[in-house]
Amino acid sequence: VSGAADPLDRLFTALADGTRRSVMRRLLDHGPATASALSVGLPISRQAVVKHLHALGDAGLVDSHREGREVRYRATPDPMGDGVEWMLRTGARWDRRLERLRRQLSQRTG
Amino acid sequence: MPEPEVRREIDLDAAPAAVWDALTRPELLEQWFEAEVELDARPGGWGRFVEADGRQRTVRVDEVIEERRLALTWWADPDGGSDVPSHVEFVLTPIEGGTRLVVTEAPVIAARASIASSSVAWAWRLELLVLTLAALVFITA
Repeated sequence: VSGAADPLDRLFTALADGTRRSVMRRLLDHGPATASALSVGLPISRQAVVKHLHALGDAGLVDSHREGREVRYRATPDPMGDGVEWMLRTGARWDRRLERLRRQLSQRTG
Repeated sequence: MPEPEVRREIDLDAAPAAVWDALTRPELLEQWFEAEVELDARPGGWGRFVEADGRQRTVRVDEVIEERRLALTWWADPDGGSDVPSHVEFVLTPIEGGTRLVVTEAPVIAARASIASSSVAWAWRLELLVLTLAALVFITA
């Protein structure tokens, strides 16, 4: 995942997985947590959660720091702004195109 | 947290056949896309959209069900900015007095969400490689 070239590619790669979106959402809603705490309530092992956290980390969505014997993960959602921006930009383009299509077709039929 | 997908729905005062023509015939696409359009709207066909601002996209036609569904993959040229490759799907449904058109656009990777997470990145790179090679063949053909 870390090899993907473009930040937007990395972002969408990280968020393409439903479990990763769940992990991200829990970190956003409830604040920093350990992988063990995150795996409670998820149908996957602590090890699998760690893998997902690393994928989120590669996209810049999560950072981590050690507290004693534990590693706590924290959401760093700034890169999500790029994804939101893509969605807004793409949506605005379709709004303009479809309005022109609507006018074009009403001219043809009427 | 939503899937990164853009979805638009519009009811048009035109029969599905007329909407289908507007989606698949280059000279009609050019009008509402405000772009120069080449398109071979058959499964596996290729196309190219050059918008007024110079943004260029290569298009691959993935699925064609006449007057019902058109699925494309398109991606910007390498110097075409930060747009990621995406899947675009048009679904037409006949309604009273016209056609309901639903358009969805999703980044290629998001549309691949069902692939096991460990293989997503490789599937993605493989897809990009295939698309790039195909585009080169298309451009030089």
